[in-house]
Amino acid sequence: MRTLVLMAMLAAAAAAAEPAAGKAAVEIPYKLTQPKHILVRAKINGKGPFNFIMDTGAPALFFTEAVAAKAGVKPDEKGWGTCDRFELEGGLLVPSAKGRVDTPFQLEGMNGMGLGGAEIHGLIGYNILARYRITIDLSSDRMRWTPLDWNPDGPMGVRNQGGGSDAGQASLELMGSMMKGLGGLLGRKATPAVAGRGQAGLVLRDETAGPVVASVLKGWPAELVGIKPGDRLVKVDGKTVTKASEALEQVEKLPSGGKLPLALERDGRPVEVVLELAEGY
Amino acid sequence: MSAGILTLASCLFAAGAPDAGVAVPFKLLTTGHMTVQVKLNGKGPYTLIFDTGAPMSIVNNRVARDAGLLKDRPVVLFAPFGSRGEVKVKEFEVGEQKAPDIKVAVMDHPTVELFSRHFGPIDGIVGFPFFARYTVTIDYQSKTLTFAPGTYNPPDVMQAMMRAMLAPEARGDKPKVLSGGAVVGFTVREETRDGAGLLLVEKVAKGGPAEQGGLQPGDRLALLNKRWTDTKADLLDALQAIRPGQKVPVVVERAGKAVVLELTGAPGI
Repeated sequence: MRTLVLMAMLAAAAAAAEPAAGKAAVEIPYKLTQPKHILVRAKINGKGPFNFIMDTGAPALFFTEAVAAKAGVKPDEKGWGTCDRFELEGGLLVPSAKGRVDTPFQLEGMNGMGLGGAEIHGLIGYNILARYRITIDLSSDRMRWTPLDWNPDGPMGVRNQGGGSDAGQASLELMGSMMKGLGGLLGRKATPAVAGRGQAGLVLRDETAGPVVASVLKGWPAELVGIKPGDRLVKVDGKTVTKASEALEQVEKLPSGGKLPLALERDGRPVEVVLELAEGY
Repeated sequence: MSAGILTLASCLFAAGAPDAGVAVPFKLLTTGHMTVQVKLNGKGPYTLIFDTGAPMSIVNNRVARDAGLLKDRPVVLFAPFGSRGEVKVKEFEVGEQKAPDIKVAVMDHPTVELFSRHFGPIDGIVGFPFFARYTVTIDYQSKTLTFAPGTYNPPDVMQAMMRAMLAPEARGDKPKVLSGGAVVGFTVREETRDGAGLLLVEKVAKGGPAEQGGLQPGDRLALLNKRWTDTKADLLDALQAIRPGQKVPVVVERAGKAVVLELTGAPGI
Protein backbone atom coordinates (compact mmCIF):
# COMPACT_ATOMS: atom_id res chain seq x y z
CA MET A 1 0.00 0.00 0.00
CA ARG A 2 2.72 2.37 1.07
CA THR A 3 4.55 1.54 -2.12
CA LEU A 4 1.47 2.30 -4.21
CA VAL A 5 0.87 5.69 -2.60
CA LEU A 6 4.50 6.62 -3.00
CA MET A 7 4.45 5.43 -6.59
CA ALA A 8 1.58 7.78 -7.32
CA MET A 9 3.41 10.63 -5.64
CA LEU A 10 6.58 9.98 -7.57
CA ALA A 11 4.62 9.86 -10.80
CA ALA A 12 2.96 13.17 -9.90
CA ALA A 13 6.32 14.72 -9.07
CA ALA A 14 7.74 13.53 -12.36
CA ALA A 15 4.78 15.00 -14.18
CA ALA A 16 5.29 18.28 -12.35
CA ALA A 17 8.92 18.30 -13.44
CA GLU A 18 7.77 18.30 -17.06
CA PRO A 19 4.04 18.63 -17.57
CA ALA A 20 2.69 16.19 -20.15
CA ALA A 21 -0.94 17.25 -20.31
CA GLY A 22 -3.51 15.84 -22.69
CA LYS A 23 -2.14 14.37 -25.85
CA ALA A 24 1.38 15.72 -25.53
CA ALA A 25 4.29 13.57 -26.59
CA VAL A 26 6.01 11.58 -23.87
CA GLU A 27 9.73 10.90 -24.06
CA ILE A 28 10.45 7.22 -23.58
CA PRO A 29 14.05 6.30 -22.73
CA TYR A 30 15.36 3.14 -24.37
CA LYS A 31 18.52 1.13 -24.88
CA LEU A 32 19.67 -0.82 -27.92
CA THR A 33 20.51 -4.45 -27.20
CA GLN A 34 23.49 -6.10 -28.86
CA PRO A 35 21.34 -7.43 -31.72
CA LYS A 36 19.94 -3.86 -31.99
CA HIS A 37 16.53 -4.39 -30.55
CA ILE A 38 14.88 -1.34 -29.00
CA LEU A 39 14.58 -2.14 -25.30
CA VAL A 40 12.13 -0.20 -23.11
CA ARG A 41 11.21 -0.77 -19.48
CA ALA A 42 7.78 -0.99 -17.93
CA LYS A 43 6.37 -1.45 -14.45
CA ILE A 44 3.25 -3.56 -14.23
CA ASN A 45 0.98 -2.92 -11.23
CA GLY A 46 3.96 -1.26 -9.58
CA LYS A 47 6.20 -4.31 -9.97
CA GLY A 48 9.32 -4.44 -12.03
CA PRO A 49 10.73 -2.75 -14.01
CA PHE A 50 10.54 -5.40 -16.70
CA ASN A 51 12.40 -5.26 -20.01
CA PHE A 52 10.43 -5.23 -23.27
CA ILE A 53 11.44 -5.18 -26.91
CA MET A 54 9.51 -2.67 -28.99
CA ASP A 55 8.56 -4.83 -31.93
CA THR A 56 6.26 -3.89 -34.81
CA GLY A 57 6.72 -7.52 -35.82
CA ALA A 58 4.78 -8.63 -32.72
CA PRO A 59 0.98 -8.66 -32.97
CA ALA A 60 0.42 -7.77 -29.32
CA LEU A 61 1.89 -7.16 -25.91
CA PHE A 62 3.54 -10.33 -24.60
CA PHE A 63 4.96 -11.03 -21.19
CA THR A 64 6.18 -14.17 -19.50
CA GLU A 65 4.30 -16.26 -16.93
CA ALA A 66 6.86 -15.23 -14.31
CA VAL A 67 6.14 -11.53 -14.95
CA ALA A 68 2.38 -12.13 -14.78
CA ALA A 69 2.77 -13.93 -11.46
CA LYS A 70 5.00 -11.21 -10.02
CA ALA A 71 2.67 -8.42 -11.12
CA GLY A 72 -0.48 -10.28 -10.11
CA VAL A 73 -1.94 -10.39 -13.63
CA LYS A 74 -4.30 -13.35 -14.01
CA PRO A 75 -4.58 -14.64 -17.56
CA ASP A 76 -8.05 -15.70 -18.79
CA GLU A 77 -8.67 -19.17 -20.23
CA LYS A 78 -7.36 -17.96 -23.60
CA GLY A 79 -4.11 -16.72 -22.11
CA TRP A 80 -4.79 -12.98 -22.14
CA GLY A 81 -4.32 -10.79 -19.10
CA THR A 82 -5.15 -7.12 -18.48
CA CYS A 83 -2.76 -4.95 -16.48
CA ASP A 84 -4.39 -2.58 -13.97
CA ARG A 85 -1.43 -0.29 -14.38
CA PHE A 86 1.13 -0.48 -17.18
CA GLU A 87 3.68 2.33 -16.96
CA LEU A 88 6.50 2.83 -19.44
CA GLU A 89 9.74 4.38 -18.27
CA GLY A 90 9.54 8.08 -19.05
CA GLY A 91 6.14 8.33 -17.36
CA LEU A 92 3.66 7.02 -19.93
CA LEU A 93 0.65 5.20 -18.47
CA VAL A 94 -0.89 2.85 -21.01
CA PRO A 95 -4.57 2.48 -20.09
CA SER A 96 -5.97 -1.05 -19.80
CA ALA A 97 -2.99 -2.70 -21.43
CA LYS A 98 -3.96 -6.20 -22.49
CA GLY A 99 -1.25 -8.73 -23.10
CA ARG A 100 -0.66 -12.33 -23.89
CA VAL A 101 0.87 -14.28 -21.04
CA ASP A 102 3.32 -16.50 -22.84
CA THR A 103 7.05 -17.02 -23.29
CA PRO A 104 7.80 -16.82 -27.01
CA PHE A 105 10.62 -19.18 -27.92
CA GLN A 106 12.66 -16.27 -29.28
CA LEU A 107 12.80 -14.76 -25.81
CA GLU A 108 13.96 -18.00 -24.29
CA GLY A 109 16.71 -18.22 -26.88
CA MET A 110 17.76 -14.65 -26.40
CA ASN A 111 17.76 -14.83 -22.63
CA GLY A 112 19.63 -18.11 -22.71
CA MET A 113 22.44 -16.34 -24.46
CA GLY A 114 22.33 -13.09 -22.54
CA LEU A 115 21.89 -11.20 -25.78
CA GLY A 116 19.81 -8.39 -24.33
CA GLY A 117 22.42 -7.22 -21.87
CA ALA A 118 19.52 -7.80 -19.48
CA GLU A 119 16.83 -10.43 -19.19
CA ILE A 120 14.06 -9.75 -21.70
CA HIS A 121 10.63 -10.17 -20.14
CA GLY A 122 8.39 -9.54 -23.12
CA LEU A 123 7.53 -7.75 -26.33
CA ILE A 124 5.44 -4.66 -26.96
CA GLY A 125 3.57 -5.17 -30.21
CA TYR A 126 0.71 -3.90 -32.31
CA ASN A 127 -2.14 -3.65 -29.80
CA ILE A 128 -0.14 -1.19 -27.68
CA LEU A 129 2.03 0.50 -30.34
CA ALA A 130 -0.94 1.35 -32.58
CA ARG A 131 -2.35 3.70 -29.94
CA TYR A 132 0.60 6.07 -30.32
CA ARG A 133 2.44 8.01 -32.99
CA ILE A 134 6.00 6.90 -32.34
CA THR A 135 9.12 8.72 -33.49
CA ILE A 136 12.43 6.88 -33.26
CA ASP A 137 15.76 8.68 -33.71
CA LEU A 138 18.55 6.33 -32.74
CA SER A 139 21.01 9.22 -32.26
CA SER A 140 18.89 10.22 -29.24
CA ASP A 141 18.53 8.08 -26.12
CA ARG A 142 14.75 8.47 -26.07
CA MET A 143 11.78 8.02 -28.38
CA ARG A 144 8.68 10.21 -28.58
CA TRP A 145 5.29 8.57 -28.09
CA THR A 146 2.23 10.76 -28.78
CA PRO A 147 -1.14 9.30 -27.79
CA LEU A 148 -3.45 9.08 -30.81
CA ASP A 149 -7.11 9.93 -30.69
CA TRP A 150 -8.34 6.54 -31.86
CA ASN A 151 -8.71 2.97 -30.81
CA PRO A 152 -7.11 0.43 -33.11
CA ASP A 153 -9.74 -2.17 -33.95
CA GLY A 154 -9.77 -4.87 -31.35
CA PRO A 155 -6.92 -4.90 -28.90
CA MET A 156 -5.79 -8.02 -30.70
CA GLY A 157 -6.17 -8.70 -34.36
CA VAL A 158 -4.62 -12.06 -33.70
CA ARG A 159 -7.19 -13.61 -31.47
CA ASN A 160 -9.67 -14.23 -34.25
CA GLN A 161 -7.02 -16.03 -36.18
CA GLY A 162 -5.32 -17.67 -33.25
CA GLY A 163 -6.13 -21.06 -31.86
CA GLY A 164 -3.39 -22.73 -33.81
CA SER A 165 -4.41 -21.55 -37.26
CA ASP A 166 -1.60 -20.98 -39.69
CA ALA A 167 -1.85 -17.21 -39.70
CA GLY A 168 -2.00 -16.98 -35.94
CA GLN A 169 0.99 -19.21 -35.69
CA ALA A 170 2.81 -17.16 -38.29
CA SER A 171 2.18 -13.94 -36.46
CA LEU A 172 3.54 -15.44 -33.29
CA GLU A 173 6.60 -16.71 -35.00
CA LEU A 174 7.49 -13.50 -36.75
CA MET A 175 8.04 -11.76 -33.44
CA GLY A 176 11.62 -10.67 -33.24
CA SER A 177 11.83 -12.59 -36.45
CA MET A 178 15.55 -13.00 -36.69
CA MET A 179 16.30 -13.74 -33.06
CA LYS A 180 16.22 -17.44 -33.54
CA GLY A 181 18.38 -17.28 -36.64
CA LEU A 182 20.99 -15.20 -34.89
CA GLY A 183 20.74 -17.23 -31.74
CA GLY A 184 22.10 -20.32 -33.39
CA LEU A 185 25.32 -18.51 -34.21
CA LEU A 186 26.09 -17.62 -30.65
CA GLY A 187 27.17 -19.67 -27.73
CA ARG A 188 27.44 -17.09 -25.01
CA LYS A 189 25.76 -17.21 -21.69
CA ALA A 190 25.16 -14.85 -18.80
CA THR A 191 24.37 -11.19 -18.63
CA PRO A 192 27.58 -9.21 -18.22
CA ALA A 193 27.83 -7.45 -14.87
CA VAL A 194 28.38 -3.69 -15.00
CA ALA A 195 30.36 -1.39 -12.73
CA GLY A 196 30.81 2.37 -12.68
CA ARG A 197 34.18 3.86 -13.56
CA GLY A 198 36.37 4.88 -10.62
CA GLN A 199 36.22 8.51 -9.53
CA ALA A 200 39.02 10.97 -8.83
CA GLY A 201 36.74 13.77 -7.63
CA LEU A 202 38.36 16.35 -9.84
CA VAL A 203 36.27 19.11 -11.45
CA LEU A 204 38.05 20.64 -14.45
CA ARG A 205 37.60 23.68 -16.66
CA ASP A 206 39.08 24.09 -20.10
CA GLU A 207 41.54 26.93 -20.61
CA THR A 208 43.64 27.75 -23.67
CA ALA A 209 46.68 26.10 -22.12
CA GLY A 210 44.69 22.96 -21.25
CA PRO A 211 42.45 21.63 -18.48
CA VAL A 212 42.76 23.33 -15.09
CA VAL A 213 41.45 22.04 -11.75
CA ALA A 214 38.34 24.12 -10.95
CA SER A 215 37.68 22.34 -7.65
CA VAL A 216 38.34 19.10 -5.81
CA LEU A 217 35.50 17.21 -4.15
CA LYS A 218 36.00 17.21 -0.39
CA GLY A 219 37.14 13.83 0.89
CA TRP A 220 37.56 12.32 -2.58
CA PRO A 221 40.82 10.83 -3.92
CA ALA A 222 42.11 13.99 -5.68
CA GLU A 223 41.91 15.96 -2.44
CA LEU A 224 43.51 13.15 -0.46
CA VAL A 225 46.65 13.27 -2.65
CA GLY A 226 46.85 17.06 -2.33
CA ILE A 227 45.60 18.31 -5.72
CA LYS A 228 44.64 21.99 -5.48
CA PRO A 229 42.29 24.24 -7.46
CA GLY A 230 44.34 26.07 -10.08
CA ASP A 231 46.63 23.09 -10.78
CA ARG A 232 46.97 22.45 -14.49
CA LEU A 233 46.34 18.86 -15.55
CA VAL A 234 49.04 17.73 -18.00
CA LYS A 235 48.89 13.94 -18.17
CA VAL A 236 46.33 11.31 -17.21
CA ASP A 237 47.58 7.75 -16.98
CA GLY A 238 50.71 8.75 -18.91
CA LYS A 239 48.86 10.44 -21.75
CA THR A 240 48.97 14.19 -22.42
CA VAL A 241 45.52 15.78 -22.31
CA THR A 242 44.52 19.12 -23.80
CA LYS A 243 40.84 19.13 -22.81
CA ALA A 244 38.68 17.94 -19.91
CA SER A 245 36.89 15.57 -22.28
CA GLU A 246 40.21 13.91 -23.17
CA ALA A 247 40.92 13.39 -19.47
CA LEU A 248 37.56 11.64 -19.13
CA GLU A 249 38.32 9.41 -22.11
CA GLN A 250 41.45 8.22 -20.30
CA VAL A 251 39.54 7.07 -17.22
CA GLU A 252 36.16 5.94 -18.53
CA LYS A 253 37.12 2.26 -18.61
CA LEU A 254 38.97 2.22 -15.27
CA PRO A 255 37.17 0.55 -12.37
CA SER A 256 37.26 1.82 -8.78
CA GLY A 257 40.16 0.58 -6.69
CA GLY A 258 42.63 1.05 -9.54
CA LYS A 259 45.63 3.39 -9.38
CA LEU A 260 45.66 6.49 -11.57
CA PRO A 261 48.90 8.45 -12.15
CA LEU A 262 48.41 12.15 -12.87
CA ALA A 263 50.97 14.74 -13.96
CA LEU A 264 50.11 18.32 -12.99
CA GLU A 265 51.71 21.73 -13.05
CA ARG A 266 51.49 24.04 -10.02
CA ASP A 267 53.02 27.54 -10.17
CA GLY A 268 55.09 26.41 -13.16
CA ARG A 269 56.52 23.39 -11.34
CA PRO A 270 55.64 19.79 -12.21
CA VAL A 271 53.75 17.75 -9.61
CA GLU A 272 53.20 14.02 -9.97
CA VAL A 273 50.67 12.04 -7.94
CA VAL A 274 49.11 8.58 -7.99
CA LEU A 275 45.60 8.37 -6.60
CA GLU A 276 43.33 5.42 -5.97
CA LEU A 277 40.06 5.69 -7.89
CA ALA A 278 37.00 5.55 -5.62
CA GLU A 279 33.48 4.27 -6.16
CA GLY A 280 30.98 7.04 -6.83
CA TYR A 281 29.24 9.08 -9.50
CA MET B 1 7.40 39.70 -59.83
CA SER B 2 4.66 37.43 -58.64
CA ALA B 3 6.23 34.60 -60.62
CA GLY B 4 9.48 35.38 -58.80
CA ILE B 5 7.79 35.15 -55.44
CA LEU B 6 6.13 31.94 -56.45
CA THR B 7 9.43 30.47 -57.57
CA LEU B 8 11.05 31.58 -54.35
CA ALA B 9 8.20 30.12 -52.37
CA SER B 10 8.41 26.81 -54.17
CA CYS B 11 12.19 26.78 -53.67
CA LEU B 12 11.70 27.30 -49.97
CA PHE B 13 9.06 24.63 -49.92
CA ALA B 14 11.31 22.24 -51.81
CA ALA B 15 14.19 23.01 -49.45
CA GLY B 16 11.97 22.45 -46.45
CA ALA B 17 10.36 19.28 -47.68
CA PRO B 18 13.21 16.80 -47.10
CA ASP B 19 13.44 17.70 -43.39
CA ALA B 20 9.76 17.01 -42.88
CA GLY B 21 10.57 13.56 -44.16
CA VAL B 22 9.28 11.22 -46.81
CA ALA B 23 5.87 9.75 -46.04
CA VAL B 24 5.48 6.09 -46.97
CA PRO B 25 2.04 4.48 -46.75
CA PHE B 26 1.82 1.01 -45.28
CA LYS B 27 -0.81 -1.68 -45.36
CA LEU B 28 -1.93 -3.17 -42.08
CA LEU B 29 -2.44 -6.92 -42.05
CA THR B 30 -5.15 -8.34 -39.82
CA THR B 31 -2.39 -9.70 -37.59
CA GLY B 32 -1.22 -6.14 -36.85
CA HIS B 33 1.87 -6.40 -39.05
CA MET B 34 2.60 -3.67 -41.57
CA THR B 35 3.75 -4.16 -45.13
CA VAL B 36 5.50 -1.66 -47.38
CA GLN B 37 6.37 -1.59 -51.08
CA VAL B 38 10.09 -1.99 -51.68
CA LYS B 39 12.21 -1.66 -54.82
CA LEU B 40 15.66 -3.22 -55.01
CA ASN B 41 18.03 -1.59 -57.51
CA GLY B 42 14.98 -0.25 -59.31
CA LYS B 43 13.31 -3.68 -59.58
CA GLY B 44 9.98 -4.42 -58.02
CA PRO B 45 8.01 -3.27 -56.12
CA TYR B 46 7.98 -6.19 -53.71
CA THR B 47 5.91 -6.43 -50.53
CA LEU B 48 7.97 -6.62 -47.33
CA ILE B 49 7.05 -6.51 -43.63
CA PHE B 50 8.37 -3.49 -41.70
CA ASP B 51 9.73 -4.82 -38.41
CA THR B 52 11.48 -2.76 -35.70
CA GLY B 53 12.26 -6.06 -33.97
CA ALA B 54 14.37 -7.36 -36.85
CA PRO B 55 18.14 -6.74 -36.60
CA MET B 56 18.54 -7.61 -40.30
CA SER B 57 16.58 -7.08 -43.48
CA ILE B 58 15.63 -10.20 -45.41
CA VAL B 59 14.51 -10.97 -48.95
CA ASN B 60 13.66 -14.36 -50.35
CA ASN B 61 15.49 -16.08 -53.21
CA ARG B 62 12.76 -15.35 -55.76
CA VAL B 63 13.06 -11.60 -55.25
CA ALA B 64 16.86 -11.73 -54.93
CA ARG B 65 17.08 -13.44 -58.34
CA ASP B 66 14.48 -11.10 -59.86
CA ALA B 67 16.43 -8.03 -58.71
CA GLY B 68 19.74 -9.52 -59.82
CA LEU B 69 21.20 -9.62 -56.31
CA LEU B 70 22.68 -13.10 -56.73
CA LYS B 71 24.47 -12.53 -60.03
CA ASP B 72 27.99 -12.88 -58.68
CA ARG B 73 27.18 -15.45 -56.01
CA PRO B 74 28.40 -19.00 -56.49
CA VAL B 75 25.82 -21.78 -56.46
CA VAL B 76 25.86 -23.52 -53.10
CA LEU B 77 24.92 -27.12 -52.47
CA PHE B 78 23.85 -26.80 -48.86
CA ALA B 79 21.67 -23.82 -48.01
CA PRO B 80 19.23 -24.29 -45.12
CA PHE B 81 16.08 -22.15 -45.75
CA GLY B 82 17.72 -21.16 -49.05
CA SER B 83 20.13 -19.03 -47.05
CA ARG B 84 22.62 -17.31 -49.35
CA GLY B 85 24.26 -14.93 -46.90
CA GLU B 86 24.27 -11.16 -46.99
CA VAL B 87 24.32 -9.03 -50.13
CA LYS B 88 24.59 -5.27 -50.49
CA VAL B 89 21.72 -3.59 -52.33
CA LYS B 90 22.95 -0.45 -54.13
CA GLU B 91 19.55 1.20 -53.99
CA PHE B 92 17.02 0.08 -51.39
CA GLU B 93 13.78 1.98 -51.86
CA VAL B 94 10.93 1.85 -49.36
CA GLY B 95 8.01 3.75 -50.85
CA GLU B 96 9.65 6.96 -52.07
CA GLN B 97 12.54 6.78 -49.61
CA LYS B 98 15.76 5.64 -51.29
CA ALA B 99 18.76 4.46 -49.27
CA PRO B 100 22.12 3.54 -50.79
CA ASP B 101 24.10 0.42 -49.90
CA ILE B 102 21.80 -1.52 -47.59
CA LYS B 103 22.75 -5.05 -46.63
CA VAL B 104 20.07 -7.71 -46.83
CA ALA B 105 20.19 -11.39 -45.97
CA VAL B 106 18.88 -13.64 -48.73
CA MET B 107 16.85 -16.51 -47.32
CA ASP B 108 13.45 -18.14 -47.57
CA HIS B 109 12.41 -17.47 -43.98
CA PRO B 110 9.71 -20.02 -43.05
CA THR B 111 7.63 -17.44 -41.18
CA VAL B 112 7.69 -15.01 -44.09
CA GLU B 113 6.58 -17.88 -46.35
CA LEU B 114 3.72 -18.68 -44.00
CA PHE B 115 2.60 -15.04 -44.15
CA SER B 116 2.90 -15.11 -47.89
CA ARG B 117 0.52 -18.04 -48.16
CA HIS B 118 -2.14 -16.17 -46.17
CA PHE B 119 -1.80 -12.59 -47.30
CA GLY B 120 -0.54 -12.80 -50.88
CA PRO B 121 3.10 -12.48 -51.87
CA ILE B 122 5.29 -11.23 -49.03
CA ASP B 123 8.94 -11.44 -49.88
CA GLY B 124 10.88 -10.39 -46.82
CA ILE B 125 11.42 -8.03 -43.93
CA VAL B 126 12.65 -4.43 -43.67
CA GLY B 127 14.65 -4.24 -40.45
CA PHE B 128 17.20 -2.23 -38.51
CA PRO B 129 19.86 -1.60 -41.21
CA PHE B 130 17.32 0.47 -43.17
CA PHE B 131 15.21 2.27 -40.60
CA ALA B 132 18.12 3.06 -38.25
CA ARG B 133 19.43 5.58 -40.78
CA TYR B 134 16.36 7.77 -40.36
CA THR B 135 14.27 9.51 -37.77
CA VAL B 136 11.30 7.28 -38.38
CA THR B 137 7.75 8.05 -37.28
CA ILE B 138 5.22 5.24 -37.13
CA ASP B 139 1.58 6.30 -37.28
CA TYR B 140 -0.91 3.43 -37.31
CA GLN B 141 -3.88 5.80 -37.50
CA SER B 142 -2.88 7.39 -40.81
CA LYS B 143 -1.09 4.17 -41.81
CA THR B 144 2.06 6.07 -42.66
CA LEU B 145 5.74 5.67 -41.95
CA THR B 146 7.72 8.91 -42.20
CA PHE B 147 11.46 8.86 -42.80
CA ALA B 148 13.31 12.09 -41.99
CA PRO B 149 17.09 12.47 -42.33
CA GLY B 150 18.90 11.03 -39.31
CA THR B 151 22.42 11.32 -37.96
CA TYR B 152 22.71 7.81 -36.51
CA ASN B 153 25.21 5.63 -38.31
CA PRO B 154 23.99 2.04 -37.84
CA PRO B 155 26.76 -0.45 -37.13
CA ASP B 156 26.88 -3.82 -38.83
CA VAL B 157 24.81 -5.89 -36.41
CA MET B 158 26.61 -9.16 -37.05
CA GLN B 159 30.05 -7.59 -36.62
CA ALA B 160 28.97 -5.70 -33.50
CA MET B 161 27.69 -8.93 -31.97
CA MET B 162 30.88 -10.78 -32.77
CA ARG B 163 32.90 -7.99 -31.14
CA ALA B 164 30.65 -8.04 -28.11
CA MET B 165 31.09 -11.78 -27.79
CA LEU B 166 34.85 -11.47 -27.86
CA ALA B 167 34.91 -8.62 -25.33
CA PRO B 168 36.40 -9.59 -21.95
CA GLU B 169 33.17 -8.88 -20.08
CA ALA B 170 31.36 -11.46 -22.23
CA ARG B 171 33.55 -14.14 -20.64
CA GLY B 172 32.22 -13.09 -17.29
CA ASP B 173 35.69 -12.47 -15.80
CA LYS B 174 35.25 -8.79 -15.21
CA PRO B 175 32.28 -6.46 -15.08
CA LYS B 176 31.84 -4.06 -17.98
CA VAL B 177 32.89 -0.58 -16.85
CA LEU B 178 30.44 2.20 -17.69
CA SER B 179 31.08 5.89 -17.25
CA GLY B 180 28.83 8.85 -16.70
CA GLY B 181 29.53 11.82 -18.95
CA ALA B 182 30.04 14.27 -16.07
CA VAL B 183 31.11 14.53 -12.43
CA VAL B 184 28.19 14.76 -9.99
CA GLY B 185 29.79 13.93 -6.64
CA PHE B 186 27.82 11.39 -4.63
CA THR B 187 27.82 7.74 -3.62
CA VAL B 188 24.92 5.30 -3.25
CA ARG B 189 24.08 1.95 -1.73
CA GLU B 190 21.57 -0.61 -2.93
CA GLU B 191 18.84 -1.85 -0.60
CA THR B 192 15.77 -4.00 -0.83
CA ARG B 193 12.33 -2.91 0.33
CA ASP B 194 9.20 -5.04 -0.09
CA GLY B 195 11.18 -7.34 -2.36
CA ALA B 196 12.14 -4.54 -4.75
CA GLY B 197 15.53 -2.90 -5.16
CA LEU B 198 16.10 0.74 -4.33
CA LEU B 199 19.02 3.13 -4.31
CA LEU B 200 19.86 5.34 -1.34
CA VAL B 201 22.25 8.29 -1.48
CA GLU B 202 25.09 7.69 0.95
CA LYS B 203 27.57 10.56 0.72
CA VAL B 204 27.28 13.87 -1.06
CA ALA B 205 30.57 15.66 -1.77
CA LYS B 206 30.70 19.10 -0.17
CA GLY B 207 30.63 21.83 -2.79
CA GLY B 208 30.10 19.34 -5.60
CA PRO B 209 27.37 19.45 -8.25
CA ALA B 210 25.10 17.03 -6.36
CA GLU B 211 25.21 19.12 -3.19
CA GLN B 212 24.64 22.31 -5.15
CA GLY B 213 21.57 20.70 -6.69
CA GLY B 214 20.17 19.83 -3.25
CA LEU B 215 20.83 16.08 -3.10
CA GLN B 216 21.06 14.81 0.50
CA PRO B 217 22.34 11.64 2.17
CA GLY B 218 19.42 9.28 2.79
CA ASP B 219 17.49 10.40 -0.30
CA ARG B 220 16.05 7.52 -2.29
CA LEU B 221 16.88 8.10 -5.97
CA ALA B 222 13.66 7.48 -7.90
CA LEU B 223 14.21 9.12 -11.28
CA LEU B 224 17.27 10.62 -12.95
CA ASN B 225 16.76 12.24 -16.34
CA LYS B 226 13.34 10.52 -16.40
CA ARG B 227 14.88 7.06 -16.05
CA TRP B 228 14.04 4.79 -13.15
CA THR B 229 17.00 4.40 -10.81
CA ASP B 230 16.42 1.37 -8.60
CA THR B 231 19.86 -0.22 -9.00
CA LYS B 232 23.44 0.91 -9.60
CA ALA B 233 23.16 -0.46 -13.14
CA ASP B 234 20.08 1.76 -13.70
CA LEU B 235 21.98 4.76 -12.38
CA LEU B 236 24.89 4.09 -14.73
CA ASP B 237 22.50 3.83 -17.67
CA ALA B 238 20.93 7.15 -16.74
CA LEU B 239 24.29 8.92 -16.18
CA GLN B 240 25.85 7.72 -19.42
CA ALA B 241 23.84 10.18 -21.48
CA ILE B 242 24.60 13.17 -19.22
CA ARG B 243 26.96 15.85 -20.50
CA PRO B 244 28.78 18.55 -18.47
CA GLY B 245 26.62 21.63 -17.99
CA GLN B 246 23.40 19.80 -18.84
CA LYS B 247 20.54 20.38 -16.39
CA VAL B 248 19.26 16.99 -15.28
CA PRO B 249 15.88 16.54 -13.55
CA VAL B 250 16.04 14.24 -10.54
CA VAL B 251 13.20 12.97 -8.37
CA VAL B 252 14.06 11.68 -4.90
CA GLU B 253 11.99 10.29 -2.08
CA ARG B 254 12.84 12.15 1.13
CA ALA B 255 11.01 11.45 4.40
CA GLY B 256 8.13 9.82 2.51
CA LYS B 257 7.70 12.73 0.10
CA ALA B 258 8.70 13.06 -3.53
CA VAL B 259 11.10 15.97 -4.07
CA VAL B 260 12.08 17.30 -7.50
CA LEU B 261 15.68 18.51 -7.90
CA GLU B 262 17.83 19.71 -10.76
CA LEU B 263 21.47 18.65 -10.95
CA THR B 264 24.11 20.01 -13.30
CA GLY B 265 27.05 17.67 -13.85
CA ALA B 266 30.52 19.19 -14.09
CA PRO B 267 33.36 18.47 -16.52
CA GLY B 268 36.10 16.44 -14.90
CA ILE B 269 37.14 12.98 -13.75
